[in-house]
Amino acid sequence: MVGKDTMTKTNGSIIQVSGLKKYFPIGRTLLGKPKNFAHAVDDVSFTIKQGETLGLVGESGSGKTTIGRLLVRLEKPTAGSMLFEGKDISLLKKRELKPFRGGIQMVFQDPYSSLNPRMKAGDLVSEPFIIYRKGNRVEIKEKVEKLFDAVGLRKEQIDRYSHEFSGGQRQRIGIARALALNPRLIIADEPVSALDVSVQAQVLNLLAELQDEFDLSFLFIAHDISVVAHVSHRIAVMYLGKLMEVAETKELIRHPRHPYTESLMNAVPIPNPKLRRDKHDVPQGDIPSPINPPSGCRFRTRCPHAFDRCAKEIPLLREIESKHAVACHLFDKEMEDA
Amino acid sequence: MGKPEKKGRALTTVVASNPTNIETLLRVENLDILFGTAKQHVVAVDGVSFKINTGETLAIVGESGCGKTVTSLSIMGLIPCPPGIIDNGSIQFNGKDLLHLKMEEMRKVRGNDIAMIFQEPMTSLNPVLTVGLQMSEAMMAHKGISRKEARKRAIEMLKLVQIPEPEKRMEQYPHQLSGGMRQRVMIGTALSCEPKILIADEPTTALDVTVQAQILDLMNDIKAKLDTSILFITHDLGVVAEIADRVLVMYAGRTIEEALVTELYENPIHPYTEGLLRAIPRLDQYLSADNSVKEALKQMPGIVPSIYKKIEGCSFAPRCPYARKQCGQERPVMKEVVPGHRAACWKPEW
Repeated sequence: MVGKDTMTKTNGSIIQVSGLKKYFPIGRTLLGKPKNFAHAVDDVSFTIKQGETLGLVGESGSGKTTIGRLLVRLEKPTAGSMLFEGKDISLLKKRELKPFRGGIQMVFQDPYSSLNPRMKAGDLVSEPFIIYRKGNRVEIKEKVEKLFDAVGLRKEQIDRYSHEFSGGQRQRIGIARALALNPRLIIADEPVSALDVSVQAQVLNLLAELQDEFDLSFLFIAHDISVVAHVSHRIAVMYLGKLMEVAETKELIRHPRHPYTESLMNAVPIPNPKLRRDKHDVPQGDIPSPINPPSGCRFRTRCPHAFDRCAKEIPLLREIESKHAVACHLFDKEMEDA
Repeated sequence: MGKPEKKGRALTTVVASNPTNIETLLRVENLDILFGTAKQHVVAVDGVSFKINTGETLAIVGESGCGKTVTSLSIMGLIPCPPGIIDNGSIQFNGKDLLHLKMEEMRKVRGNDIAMIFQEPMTSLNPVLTVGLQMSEAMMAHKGISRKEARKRAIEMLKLVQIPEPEKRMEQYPHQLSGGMRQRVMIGTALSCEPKILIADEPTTALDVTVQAQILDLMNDIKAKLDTSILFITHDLGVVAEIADRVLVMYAGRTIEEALVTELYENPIHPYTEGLLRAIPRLDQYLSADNSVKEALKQMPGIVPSIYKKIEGCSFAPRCPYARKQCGQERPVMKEVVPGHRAACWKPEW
């Protein structure tokens, strides 16, 4: 499907997002104009390479889920472009979107509410083939069985309803559904946070296996940086609608540069009582509202290093080292000094 | 015999950080809790025994459905009957068996001696009362103090839990507070009557990590200040490592391991505990020097057994990599394997 021209244009990346914005209207005046906007995603740019997993980590209200929903076009962006295999899908209409939907699929957080309780597992997985008119009944059945096998479900379970499955198995059904149409990019939005620890590991390992087997690219969205680090090649840290830092996983964990990333790392509980800290070095207070985000840098109200410039100017995300981008004025200063 | 010596040392270091005389505050013994009718029921808690000492934090850790919440609710006398049946066991506190107290007497213990906070602070706070009113209400009921006094003390409590502008917050409603603030209000309310034990059921699970870290710091801080014992219920082994002195691991309604926190993480005895510790993705592995290859998580096969089925032997046997014939037939009981470290497993005897 992808021609040679587009391949060179895309530079080996499966999706290129630039200047992506999503503002949600809040309240209406008498004349029907929105009173206010929640700046859920505000000028975000990133790319995901072929076969790569980009982890997107952030706390609640950071806009990470909105980014996922924008990429599968469950939401329409306010501004910006999203080039999927070289073609901008940000403004496509519903009918024009259909051919792309198979290429980008989503795995949802809650395996309990994302599966129709009145459908059998096999029907849930064959639904995409029916919608896209791919194959006759026998062929579809064969494909469904293959998918069941790929995600570690048994063929006998095809005729069961979703309530007969455990949480981890349901998430496997969700993954099988997402894989049905041979997607190139999978958006996994908190795919393991509703699962118990022992099952979490099963699903994370499954996703890694499938990535190798089907040459998939992932956007892996989660609030838990230890989970994200485990599956991702690169990590993007998000706070209040903006990317704060993007770097390769090991680099980010070992040398977090943005004060927010640093505090996230300090806040993560470490399962080793010997490393217990008396006091966590974390920002006090709570995340400000995305309706009236702080001027300048979004993190400045909680940042221990904030200075006057942080309130005036929005710091741009830029590379301070090779493959390590940070949006923070502290590093502008450093660069100027150097 | 070099090993037990090492363990003995670990024991003393933790005790030393806890200088008050160790005294058992609460003792739960052989607790069985069923749900359903006498004829047809599921076993939620199956022969659970443990104690809480003065000034210590005991964490109960386990996955969903393991009975950790039901255990904590039974201490508060909050198991609805029917369908809940406390079939056997005792909960000794202050020379009394809490399971045999009259409703009136239990009401005095609840809040006064033992207080509880829950996972989702929004559902445990009354949405139509101001923060100040619900905090003072608790104190007026339990301590019999006047409204004015209660108000004064409520402000003090808000200061203790580090809420900025406490006077202003007193007049606000729960929906005007953030999740972290609400949990602080809950902690403040729970501590306002100076309970001897604070039961915290997944108090940080609904919070963001940075806020979770704040609340954990706060709880550690308060414990040191007020010398309250804490029973901390959680599924998160990271949080346990941050807060607990001693840990009790539960699986399918039973306790399977108990030890001081460092001992448990370093020398887990039960294969379930071992499996859990290996199944969590951890950041500290990136910080240690040489690991160029990312290891796959050690996954535990299978799922937690259904509570509708009666389990004959060890409840973990179907998932256990070491299981032998004996495990499926005979139920292991909690036994001290090394001093201060108990586990319900046949393996150490083989």
